[in-house]
Amino acid sequence: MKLENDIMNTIEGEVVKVSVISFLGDIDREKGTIISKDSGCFGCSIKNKILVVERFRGSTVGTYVLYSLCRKGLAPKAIISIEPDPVVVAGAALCGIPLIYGISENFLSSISTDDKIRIEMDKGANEVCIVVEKDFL
Amino acid sequence: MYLGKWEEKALQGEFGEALQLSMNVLVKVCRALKAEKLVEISHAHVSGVSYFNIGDEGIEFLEDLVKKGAKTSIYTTANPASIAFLDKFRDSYSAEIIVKQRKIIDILISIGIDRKSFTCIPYKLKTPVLGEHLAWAESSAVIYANSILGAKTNREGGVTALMAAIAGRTCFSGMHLDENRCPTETIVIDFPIRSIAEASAIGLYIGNVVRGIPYIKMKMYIDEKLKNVVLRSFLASLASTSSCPLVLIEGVSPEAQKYVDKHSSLEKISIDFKDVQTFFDSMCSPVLYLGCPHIDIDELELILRNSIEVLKILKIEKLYVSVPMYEQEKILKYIGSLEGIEIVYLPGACPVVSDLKNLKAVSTVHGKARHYIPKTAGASACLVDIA
Repeated sequence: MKLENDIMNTIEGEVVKVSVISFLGDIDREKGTIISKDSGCFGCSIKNKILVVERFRGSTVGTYVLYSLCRKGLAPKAIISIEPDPVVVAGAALCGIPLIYGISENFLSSISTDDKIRIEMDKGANEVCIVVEKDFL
Repeated sequence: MYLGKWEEKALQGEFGEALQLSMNVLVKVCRALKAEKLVEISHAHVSGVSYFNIGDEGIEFLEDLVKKGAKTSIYTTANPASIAFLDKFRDSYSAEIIVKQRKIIDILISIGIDRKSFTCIPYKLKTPVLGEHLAWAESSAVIYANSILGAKTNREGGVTALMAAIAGRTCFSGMHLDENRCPTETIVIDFPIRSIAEASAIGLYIGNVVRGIPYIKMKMYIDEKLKNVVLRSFLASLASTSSCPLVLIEGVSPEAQKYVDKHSSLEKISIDFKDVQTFFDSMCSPVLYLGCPHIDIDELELILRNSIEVLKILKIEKLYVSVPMYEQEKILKYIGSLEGIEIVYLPGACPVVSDLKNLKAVSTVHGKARHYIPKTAGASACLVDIA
């Protein structure tokens, strides 16, 4: 597991999980909501959420869109994925969004939209810890 | 990841904010690509020049870069812009779009990009040599540099190519490593290629079936002076339907020679004419588009000399021709119509990244244009075998 862009403190937030996403074409640039039906979370807002992504797709222009979402305050708090996508890595680097990749498919499939996630960084041990809280009510 | 002393200092911000930002983005992207280090490059080529492509977000980003004092540190060229900045289309686009398209071009020039570039064939301005390391965006230029010139570049994203232009470095991964440049399959084209359109159709087809780096055997029955145009259109088409950065063409690619005897052990795919026929369409428009990738005026003259009779028979009324920005002066002295066919030159521009909804449909001999125009420009396109 790898973390890019430092976490100062713990990050906590609600999950928006998508099976596939491109920052160009799948997200409303003005509202920060998901507009692609095959994403698995149509209409979800990614603003201040922990975006959990099975697979990225699409154009290299996605870097610009992620950057713009940040400037408008519509970006996610953190992004978690299995594989890193260079277009998204570049966008996250430009706005300092913590990006975690290299997590197992099994772990990712256990996460669902509306779960709560806490990401903790143990700087001494150089370890990242992801805690998933589920609401079974 | 290993960083040299200069790179460490740049990352710490010792050389200013723009360089720090560039190094920060590069290091993170390179780690994701599992690069062990950065490699110094001699030429960067950036994409994302069309306003229709990068939008207001792109302009915001470029303006922020300028505020941070961004300057290219190596020779840098840029892709063509949308046709919206050309005076002859003043009435086709809103004032806002025209102003914003011009702004993108001005910012890029102010950062240090060669004002004569704005072309997808940057290798005609400065030709890379065998083994030279580059950071190029624009898939058709990438595959040309790797395959025809033996230079080394990955398919960079628009933003990372710009960061590489500022830092003078890119990730030492993928195509920069010799071990990733060996053929993995053999493709044999069973019939001779006789036109730009045929080469395009074959390129589109190969892009759909290729899995790794192909060793390609093909014969071209083409005017010697037009061979390069044919190869450009072939490679651009192939790179439209795949993410392939390199092909090894027997007798053409400098690196193919090493594998003349060795490729026979690889899995072989044969292509006959029937396979590629599906990519040809019936004529859909009296407007013909040439120059994807860009062609220069001499090449246009040759194409027209060979094909003018066919164009007349097919009742082509208008030609749109994309040429590099550096051909601008030549155009002024060149003809505006030929035997009743109007010729509209598009210096430094590309219809594929423009809004062509008013045009509705366009005929072309280029596979890349046929592939992208319906997706990105809002018009339909047909591939016709007339040149």
